[in-house]
Amino acid sequence: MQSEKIYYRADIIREKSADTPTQLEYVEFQGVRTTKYDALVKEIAELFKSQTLKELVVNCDLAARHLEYVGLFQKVIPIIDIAEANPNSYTVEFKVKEPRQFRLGANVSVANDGEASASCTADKASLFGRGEGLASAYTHGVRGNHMFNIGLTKPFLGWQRYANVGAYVYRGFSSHPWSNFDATDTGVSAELNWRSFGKLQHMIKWNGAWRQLEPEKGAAFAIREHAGHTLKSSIENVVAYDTRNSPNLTTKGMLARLTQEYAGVFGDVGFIRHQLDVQAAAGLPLGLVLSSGLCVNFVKPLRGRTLHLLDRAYLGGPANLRGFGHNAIGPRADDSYMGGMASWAWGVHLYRPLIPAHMLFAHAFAVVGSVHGVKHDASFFDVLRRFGDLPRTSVGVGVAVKIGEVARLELNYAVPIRYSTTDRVVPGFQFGVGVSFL
Amino acid sequence: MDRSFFTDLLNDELAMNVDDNWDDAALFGPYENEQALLYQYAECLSARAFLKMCNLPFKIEQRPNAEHMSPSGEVPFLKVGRLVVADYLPIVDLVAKKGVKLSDGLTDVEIGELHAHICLLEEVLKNAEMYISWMHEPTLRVVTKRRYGSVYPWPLSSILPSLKGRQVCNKLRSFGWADRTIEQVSNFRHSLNTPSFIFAAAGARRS
Repeated sequence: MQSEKIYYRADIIREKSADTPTQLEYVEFQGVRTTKYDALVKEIAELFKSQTLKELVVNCDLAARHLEYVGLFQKVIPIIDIAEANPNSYTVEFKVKEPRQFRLGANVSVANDGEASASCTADKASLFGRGEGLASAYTHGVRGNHMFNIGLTKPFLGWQRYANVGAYVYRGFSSHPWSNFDATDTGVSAELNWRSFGKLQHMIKWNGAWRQLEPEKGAAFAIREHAGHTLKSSIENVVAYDTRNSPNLTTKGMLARLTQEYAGVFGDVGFIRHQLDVQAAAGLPLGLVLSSGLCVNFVKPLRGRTLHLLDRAYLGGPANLRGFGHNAIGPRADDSYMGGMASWAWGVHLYRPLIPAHMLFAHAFAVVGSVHGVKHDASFFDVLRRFGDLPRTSVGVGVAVKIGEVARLELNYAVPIRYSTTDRVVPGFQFGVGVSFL
Repeated sequence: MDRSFFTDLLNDELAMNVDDNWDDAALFGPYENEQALLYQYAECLSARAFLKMCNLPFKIEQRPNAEHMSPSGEVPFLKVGRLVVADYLPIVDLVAKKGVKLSDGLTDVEIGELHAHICLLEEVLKNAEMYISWMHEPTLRVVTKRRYGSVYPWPLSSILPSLKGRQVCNKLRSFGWADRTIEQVSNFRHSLNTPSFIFAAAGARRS
């Protein structure tokens, strides 16, 4: 029987018999081994409310995409069929592919500062059959530092629900050569993500981190003063509106994101951070893309607390103010950059796709920004008033290479136009790799 | 011995900095009343006494993270201008480089002897103090862990003393102190194996 049937693409059926009254008899899943029954019921119950065939077709597609999104299945193909008993009754069959048992990986990487590391990863999607994701990684740095992170996420299942909770344990090591210190960060965090009004993304996150700052041999005394252990406990709230076609190198769409972080509930670090990121890109004639980005960061220490070096705002380098040293703008003690309590940067870019067009871009830019040193009694408006003082400016041209959706590679010839004598200026060719660019 | 090696190294390094003026001198140490451990307190006091005897002006700065600020991990440390020197003997050497010596009236042989005694005394006494602080269970529980953790919020207040304890115990073990009993340690004069009057005599001769 089965082999005599002819299947059509959904859009053909939808056009031909859009308003046919429809009743869904049953839903069948093929390929399920470990996924739990109740999880599937939550996901597809809404299908039975479909009144017309058109609705059923659309809903089946939505259900299939959502099943993939929450991580229950790797691939889902819905097939609608006529039920034999009743002419207006239909059945739906989902052909599914469950995520692999375990995914193991290993890689060797070199970071922007030349630090090499080797890491291995182990991932598992839909761990207990309800979409729970487990991701873990262990990294061994060339300097003998150990890093790891383990994350567990769980989606809220249900018709068109885009929400999840996550919990993470991690240990990270970072080197800050611009300030002559190394930092080790060990912590736990928990986050809740959801969407409202369709496209507005929310995140609330609690983060408890034990941080150790170790000054290097040549560090300025002002850096030494921050040495040792601190405990940060912070609550972060992120609201974002994101329509970018590719977060890595946007050619269309916009992003507006507000990040607020309050530290000081617990622990010995106290500050409030407000960060605003705005990005927009649009196509121009001749295949050109005009893109612009603004990033404003303001960190205010709580009363009676000093603003720790690890919590400050830094600026400079190939990812934002090209033509300057990495995080090497603003106040300096000896040759260690001290960061500030506020920073802003604004850039205008012109991209022109080369060959291959989705990967390689010619790039011209003008960027401007500055860092405002730490003043413990300064209010937001004091800082805002002085934001215009000596804006660092640079212009340049270069090429940008998009490596998938993960990273971007840039080689630029940059000319710093306005700078302060304390800034580390890098005129000429500058190379940068990163995940987030202004 | 590693100390003299480091002292030599320091001498070379200091040679170019000796001409700095003695300005903005500050002696950094932990909070003496709440935080400093037995041996840290002793070292802070001796450095302070020494600088006072030399008539050199200095500020006392007490910081909860003094140990981590110090280039060698030892407290106290002295900051003169941009120069930072940690530990008692290097501080004495630094002061000597500036031309201030308390042992001017002594012959070379006597200075050598004095130096040897100070080194021996320091090693033995300091190790004994470290042993009592970190390996004598009641002291560790009631005094050391509390004082060491007092400047941190929970849970660092219990994690960091344990980590530090492990580090100090490893060090003492490598010096062969781990197998000693508290009686052996507190009877340190045997381990010094030195008649007590030598120190008194050296002191008297100086005056």
